[in-house]
Amino acid sequence: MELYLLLGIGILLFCLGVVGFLVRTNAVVLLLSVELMLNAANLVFIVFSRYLHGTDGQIYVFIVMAIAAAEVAVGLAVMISIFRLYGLLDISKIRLLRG
Amino acid sequence: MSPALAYMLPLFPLVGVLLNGSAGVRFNSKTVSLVACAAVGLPLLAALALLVSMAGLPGDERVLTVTLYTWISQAGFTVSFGFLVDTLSMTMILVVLFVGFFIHLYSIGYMEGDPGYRRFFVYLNLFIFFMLLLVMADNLILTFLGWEGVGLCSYLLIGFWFEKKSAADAGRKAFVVNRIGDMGFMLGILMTVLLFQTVNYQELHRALEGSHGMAVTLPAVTALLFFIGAMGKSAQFPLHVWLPDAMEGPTPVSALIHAATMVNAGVYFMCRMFPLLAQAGIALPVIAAVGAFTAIYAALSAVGQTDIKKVLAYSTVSQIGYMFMAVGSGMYMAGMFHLVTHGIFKGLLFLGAGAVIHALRGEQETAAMGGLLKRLSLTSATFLLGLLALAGIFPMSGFFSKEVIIWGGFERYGLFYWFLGFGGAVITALYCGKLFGLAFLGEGTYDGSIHKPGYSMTVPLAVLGFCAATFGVFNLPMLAGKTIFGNFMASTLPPAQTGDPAVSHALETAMLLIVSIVVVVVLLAAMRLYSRRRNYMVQLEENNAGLMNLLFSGFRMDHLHDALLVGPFKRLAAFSSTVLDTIIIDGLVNRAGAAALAAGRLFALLQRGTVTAYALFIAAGIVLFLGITLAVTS
Amino acid sequence: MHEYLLIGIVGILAIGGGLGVVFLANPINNVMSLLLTMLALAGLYAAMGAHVAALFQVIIYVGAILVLFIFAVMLLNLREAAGRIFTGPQTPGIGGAALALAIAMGTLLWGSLRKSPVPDEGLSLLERAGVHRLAIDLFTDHLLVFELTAVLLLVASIGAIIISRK
Repeated sequence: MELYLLLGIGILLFCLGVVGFLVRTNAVVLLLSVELMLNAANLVFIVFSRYLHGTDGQIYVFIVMAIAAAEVAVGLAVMISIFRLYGLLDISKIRLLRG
Repeated sequence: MSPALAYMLPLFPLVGVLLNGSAGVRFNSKTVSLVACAAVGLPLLAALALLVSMAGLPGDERVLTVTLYTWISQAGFTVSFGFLVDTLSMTMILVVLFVGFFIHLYSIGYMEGDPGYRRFFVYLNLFIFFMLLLVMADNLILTFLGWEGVGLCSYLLIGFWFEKKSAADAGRKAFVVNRIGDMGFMLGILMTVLLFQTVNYQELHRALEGSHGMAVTLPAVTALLFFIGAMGKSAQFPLHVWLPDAMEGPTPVSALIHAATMVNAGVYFMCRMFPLLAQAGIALPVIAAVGAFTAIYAALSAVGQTDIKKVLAYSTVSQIGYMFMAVGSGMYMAGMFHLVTHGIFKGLLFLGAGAVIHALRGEQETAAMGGLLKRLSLTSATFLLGLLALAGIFPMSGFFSKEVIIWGGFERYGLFYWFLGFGGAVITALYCGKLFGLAFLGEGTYDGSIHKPGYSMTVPLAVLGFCAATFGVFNLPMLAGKTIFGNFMASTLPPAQTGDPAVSHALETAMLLIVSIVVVVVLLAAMRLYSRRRNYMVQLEENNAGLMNLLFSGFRMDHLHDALLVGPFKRLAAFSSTVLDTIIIDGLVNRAGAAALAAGRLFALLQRGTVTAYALFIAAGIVLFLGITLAVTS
Repeated sequence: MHEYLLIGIVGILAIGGGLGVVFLANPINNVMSLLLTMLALAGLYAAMGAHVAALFQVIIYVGAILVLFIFAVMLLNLREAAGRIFTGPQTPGIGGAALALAIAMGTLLWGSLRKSPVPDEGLSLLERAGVHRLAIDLFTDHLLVFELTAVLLLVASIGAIIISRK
């Protein structure tokens, strides 16, 4: 049964990440929310790997971590460029994507 | 009889069209006329050669069938592109080419200097092509192709001077009225296909001669439908209204199309379908009635006309009425012979009228003419020959053809019908005399100089005048049974039914004399009255202005059409354009466009530009798909 | 019983950190909350016997990524307005929509979990896999993924440099 508890924690963390992504306007916090979601996914991977399958889950966790690192690197670089351009990181004021 | 000659007949005019139509823009007018006249003259020679070889054959072998290719072939129903040259089509071919050739010659002089000179000859050759197709076709559908083609050429040529509104209107009117007749024709074709599963003439004749166990109503309906088509093309009442207006076209056009060839197509076609008519019960009396009515109606209208061409136009309607009287009396050969003689003398009359108009530099009203006999002697002489033939005076060709028809009407339908024919002949004599008296006799009222016609116009006049005077011989001996023309046509058409020979011979001679004498008297009287006592006649007409107006307007047929058909149609068109089109349809289309725009603007609201909004949409999408996946896989 | 307690407390820590990431105002506070969550998750991994994963979680996530975040925050010198502690959604509409969507997602995920053929009772941890075992699997069964990830990292590094150039 701790399987379900753990999975419940993972789902809860994921939903928190979604809420954070949708609610906050600070770009840094957006990236942090994405990291939160990725971690929740990692948790689920590990849980299933340890309770049901073999080692595949843990290996995927490594890969996800690597990807998360790459993504954060690039994301922060973009953030810095935006900050240079606008002077602030409030995404509600940045409307470059408007069609 | 070689098929090659048959191919040449429609081929040359077609080549003339293509040549003059494309390269002709670079030709000078001499070359254009040469090409055009050769395009008709060469087939004429070929037709004469065919005639000679055909005459040499015995009676039942005078048929040549040529099939070029199979046009439609579906489920046992075949329509081929082929020609049927028998004595009937041979007659028509000769009329078309002979009269057509001289009219081409005439046009060289008449249309000289016209900016549309080349176009005119292209259309003329095109017309000859389609007319030959019509006449030589071996099945109904190919005939219809030619039928429509000559209708098209008629429209093009009537509206030749299309900058003139009246000419353009006249062309359109001709085409539309023709179309009404064509509907009948098409329905007739459909009926034929339904009843006999074939459209080929020879197969139809075989099917009709055998027993087919059909009630008489079906062939009758089919025959009447075809007759409606013939009424449209041959300008019988009530589909005759286009022919007087068609005089807007150049006079050679009036001569060729509306006197000698196209308007006779209806008569020719009825003769071609004679086995159907013979079994169609009520159809023959209907045809005879319509013919007789039209003959008298048109003759009366001709009396009231003031334009020289319009007199001739109504006269044409009237004479075609006579041809249909012959067909309706079962006298197909007589009808065809009248077709031949009428083609010649009416063509002659139109060409003569054209010469007069050309000489008087465009004047067409008879009131402005007079005394032309002295100033245009050749034209007047040939015109007189034509009028005598028209009135049916011995020994002109018209006498031989018309008298036979009147007599045949008596044999079939009795004294009243004979009286109708007689009356028509009298009225014909009346307007002939009036026309000649007003225009050619008496003192001239035209002041300007006269532009005498050149050889290109006078030679055709002379030739046609000669033919009009002499072609009567082909129907000799008239009263004794077999005539030359009759022998020739006997291989295709059935002979007329004759009554008791002994009684009829004496009676026939007596009635003939009555008709002839009365006609001559009326003709001379009219000529004299309108020439010597011109002012008196003018006064007489003014006193009876109401009657004369009635006759002038053709008993107000155009007004009737306007009120009954054209007026409501125009109102419907106005309604459609303002309400239906502008408000409803445009409104619908514009609203649809506006709706699309509004929808677009609505969806554009999705494009906020903020990351949050897009993230919301993505999240919503994920939820949606998760939900669907769960729902589907549960 | 012990496991439940352990997992429960660590789980609460993790969730608390998550809430902190979402609702705290100061960006540094957000980063620190994420730090708490990640450490808690590392603890969970260790409790489940995935020591290698716990190790990497701490090294990579906490040691590299969060440090990078802190550097970025410090570099950009961000200050939230009026020094609040907590912050909420911009408009109630967005907040409500976000909440609704998150709840929906959570419900759907939990629902799909319940429907899947995972038995309720009698589950216990499998045999633990050591570094040795993981290494062999990584470099033989999942070699392609590994190599591609390496390429990805290279590209990301180059990209980050290029993007942030003046």
